Amino acid sequence: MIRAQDFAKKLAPGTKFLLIASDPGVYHDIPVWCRMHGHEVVRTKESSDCVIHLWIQTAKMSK
Amino acid sequence: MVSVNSPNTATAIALISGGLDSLLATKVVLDQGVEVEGVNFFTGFCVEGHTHAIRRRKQEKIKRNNALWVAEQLGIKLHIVDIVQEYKDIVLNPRHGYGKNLNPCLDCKIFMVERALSMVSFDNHPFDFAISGEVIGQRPKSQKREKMEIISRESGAHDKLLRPLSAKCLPMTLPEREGWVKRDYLHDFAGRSRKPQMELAAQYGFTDYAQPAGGCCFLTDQNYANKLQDLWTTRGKRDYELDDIMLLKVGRHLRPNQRFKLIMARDEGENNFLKGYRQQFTYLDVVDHKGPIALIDGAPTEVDLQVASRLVARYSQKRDNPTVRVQVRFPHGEEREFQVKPFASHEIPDFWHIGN
Repeated sequence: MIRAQDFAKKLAPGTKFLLIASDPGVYHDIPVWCRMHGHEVVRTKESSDCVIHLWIQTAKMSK
Repeated sequence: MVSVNSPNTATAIALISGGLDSLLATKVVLDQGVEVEGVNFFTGFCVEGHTHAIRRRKQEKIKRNNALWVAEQLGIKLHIVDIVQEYKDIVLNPRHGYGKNLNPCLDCKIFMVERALSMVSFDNHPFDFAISGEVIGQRPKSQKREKMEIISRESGAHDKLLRPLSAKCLPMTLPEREGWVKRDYLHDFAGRSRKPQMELAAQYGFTDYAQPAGGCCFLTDQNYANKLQDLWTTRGKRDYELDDIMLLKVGRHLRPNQRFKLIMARDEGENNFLKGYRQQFTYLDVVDHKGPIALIDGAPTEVDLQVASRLVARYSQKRDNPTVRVQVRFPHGEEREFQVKPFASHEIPDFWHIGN
């Protein structure tokens, strides 16, 4: 969560990035964090070894 | 007095732990029209982080980050700040000493208030004051009235620290004098009872909130503190890295001797968590049967590896077999297999168990 937050701060508005996580709590926490800051979860995928991929697009305008 | 800021133009930073008190304290100020952002500090010792790290996948209700959840309920933005490195000095050298265990509560609060007020908002503006959910007398040591004065003074916040839940029992603060918040709408909660908070929560319509049974910090936990003390003693120095303190939260810790310690998973969630450390530690796993995953911290001898394997075998499904095969993988990639006789229960001395 902290790594995603700090990484997103450095990105230009509207940039997409991939977050890779093993903690299923990201399904709850990342959408909350995205709503809070105007970011968007574009796509999620979970591999057979329980690794979760979330593609996130940063807010297009500073919110 | 003429106010520099007219009402509703002030901005505040609220310390958000994810518990009920910080939720209510922030809500009280938000309702007076103050613009509030939240901050949650990650120390490495947070119970919250622990539940996240090793939650079990099959649990019906997925654990959430309560600080994030609280911020969303309040409709405020949340800064999540990693203070693991800075926090070391607080844990290792607390000016005000420790509480019952290794909890430097007073120094911790002073640090967090100071850090919060040094931050800027998401729009790069400084904050006018800080909000804390502290309640006089709620905790026997860190939330006494005189301790609250120390926190205000030594954090440098002075009257810029507002405790909305106990404000009427405390001296007037800057936001009250400036008219940013009205003292009449603040509260006079004091004592250990949680009833006033629960009644206020009901008034606000908050029904789903975190109710931590043992505080929000592992340093208040005696078992955890014992394990941290053992780590310092066996390494001969008071220091730690993040991985050290994360691993102290997980599994059974058994120390047969000063050369090594075994960290053994107790359930599937802990097994998954420990798997993440396969590249850093010597790693033990039972062959062919279900059993706990274990890590070795230290420098074991050949005999120690046998002892560690026998311990892992003891906690496996095949503990009653004459022998069990245990695979040992070393960080540099070498793998070996030991066929060992599982320890009988009485062969494991109580003093091998650290902290439990």
